[in-house]
Amino acid sequence: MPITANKLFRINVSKDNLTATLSLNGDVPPSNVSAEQIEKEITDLGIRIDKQGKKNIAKFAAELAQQKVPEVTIAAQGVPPKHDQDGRIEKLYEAPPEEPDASDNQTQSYYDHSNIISVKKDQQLLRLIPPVDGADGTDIYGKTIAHKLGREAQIKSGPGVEQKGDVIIAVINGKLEYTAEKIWIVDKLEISGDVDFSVGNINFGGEVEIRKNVLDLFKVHSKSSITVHGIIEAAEIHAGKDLNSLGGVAGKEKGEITAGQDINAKYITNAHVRAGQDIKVNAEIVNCDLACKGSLTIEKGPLVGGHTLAFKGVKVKQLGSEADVKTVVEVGIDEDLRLKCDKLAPEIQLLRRKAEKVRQVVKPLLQNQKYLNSEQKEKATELIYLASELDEQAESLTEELRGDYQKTIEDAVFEIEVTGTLYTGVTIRFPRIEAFVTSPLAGPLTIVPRKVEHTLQILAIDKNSGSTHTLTAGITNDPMWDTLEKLFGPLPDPVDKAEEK
Amino acid sequence: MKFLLVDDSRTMRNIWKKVISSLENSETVEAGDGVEGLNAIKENGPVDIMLVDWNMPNMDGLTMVKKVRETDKTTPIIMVTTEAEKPRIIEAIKAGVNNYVVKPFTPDALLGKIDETLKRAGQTA
Repeated sequence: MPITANKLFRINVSKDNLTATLSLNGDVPPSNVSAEQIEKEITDLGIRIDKQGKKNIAKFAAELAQQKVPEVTIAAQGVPPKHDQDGRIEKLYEAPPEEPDASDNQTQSYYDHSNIISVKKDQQLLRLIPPVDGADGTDIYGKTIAHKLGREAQIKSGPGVEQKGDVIIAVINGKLEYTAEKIWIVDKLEISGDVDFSVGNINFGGEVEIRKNVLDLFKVHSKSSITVHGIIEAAEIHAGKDLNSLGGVAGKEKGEITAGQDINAKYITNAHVRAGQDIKVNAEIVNCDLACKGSLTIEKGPLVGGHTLAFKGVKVKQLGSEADVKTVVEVGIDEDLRLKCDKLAPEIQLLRRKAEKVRQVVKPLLQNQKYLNSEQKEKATELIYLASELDEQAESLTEELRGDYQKTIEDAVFEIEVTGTLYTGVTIRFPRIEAFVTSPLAGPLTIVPRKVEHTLQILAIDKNSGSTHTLTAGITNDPMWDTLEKLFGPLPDPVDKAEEK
Repeated sequence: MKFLLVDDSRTMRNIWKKVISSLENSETVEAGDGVEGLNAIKENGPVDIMLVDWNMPNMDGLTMVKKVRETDKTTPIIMVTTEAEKPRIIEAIKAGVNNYVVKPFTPDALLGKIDETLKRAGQTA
């Protein structure tokens, strides 16, 4: 907007009062005028001329003096306001992996693609970044132009989250839900359909409930319990607490099912199963590699095929099948002890061998101490100490194993109950003794190991008549017992312990 | 029970430390020669027992024991050394050593000597 129009030049001020421009009045030919005259006209309007403005005006006047037509120039410039930047929200959790891009050369699994954001207790979720301060501006008249204030970042905290300072954290394990207005955590993950490519693998801190099936090769991991209403196929299921399989498990020889506590299932076939406590099955267990630290119960059906290891006894309707299917059942044996023994026994033996070797080296030195120089005596001391340290390490591992063994024989239950029939083809194994069933026996039976005239036998006791049938038994070839005796010396017989109880 | 361990071999000090760690409430102060040993006493205050090697650089164990005994007549000192000749042992005992362990020694032998020395001094390990 022209605010002054001298005969020679004009001053235009922008709408925001931040810029004043100086230009030649179009109707008038260039004519001599001093920079001071121009500056005076401008300052008379209340406009403040800065250093750059003065330079521009001087150049403008100089060009006029040379009868040139000067270009439009800035005579005064204000400082625009710098507005605050609004507060914002920074995500601190990791977003789930995106669906793999087929064109991507890197290998990614579609199984890992998931829409579920699983978070852990105490995990930081969001940070509220405060607004960034701006600054007021000044127009060409020296008047302050106020800057706009920024808005604080805001989000409502729902269940399962808490704001601590500027950070929102999870106070429970669970599934993160997050909208523009609110953030919260649900401690139970419900999948309304199958676990398939639309859902992806699940790794969840809280409880998981799946309304339909878990399809082949998918993984469902939960630190809490898992309930599957449909069928668990050849999938990998790991529950920190209980696993409830209402539809059953059809593992197709690839399924892996583990639970920190109980497993309850309609049936289990062709799967690898591990339970920290009891396993209860309604219908049947067929051809599984199964171990539990509690008891195994099959309410209505058989245990057929595979290898079963139950620490606190077995109760089934039918053991084996009419087709003489090879079925191995071990009872009162702790798989963890067996694994630990496999791992520690060689370590202990190695440490003992090393200690012995060191002692062999140091022996002649000790016998000839008179002829040793100082250095050799120091070395001999070191070797003696090394041998004693190796012995101590071996002893500490041995004690650890001994403790586990003692706990095992205290807690084990050496009993199999068969309410229906015990079939040919079944191998029954208790600690140190096993029997192969050569002819079927009708139940209800209680099968136990007993010492009869100092000989360990496996007896099948008819629960109705009380009559006893001795199953053909032999010493078990489980190397764990030999190893333990080699390490500890003669051990109390687990069966004696059971009889004491 | 506070131990001062003086030996120029770090390995040997570590062996002593591990052997001593089997004693209840044991704590250790280490030094690499006699000079460091005397400084350690100055800096850390009195200890309950000292284990001192004989042959060390800067100041040997015997000199250190003599210096300690100028002001401290009571703190038990065990010389742990390769010097096994009788005259040397007598020399050490004259200088103020309370007990003597000849290298090589077994952990049990060292513990036995510590126990014996403390008992004689009216303390228990």
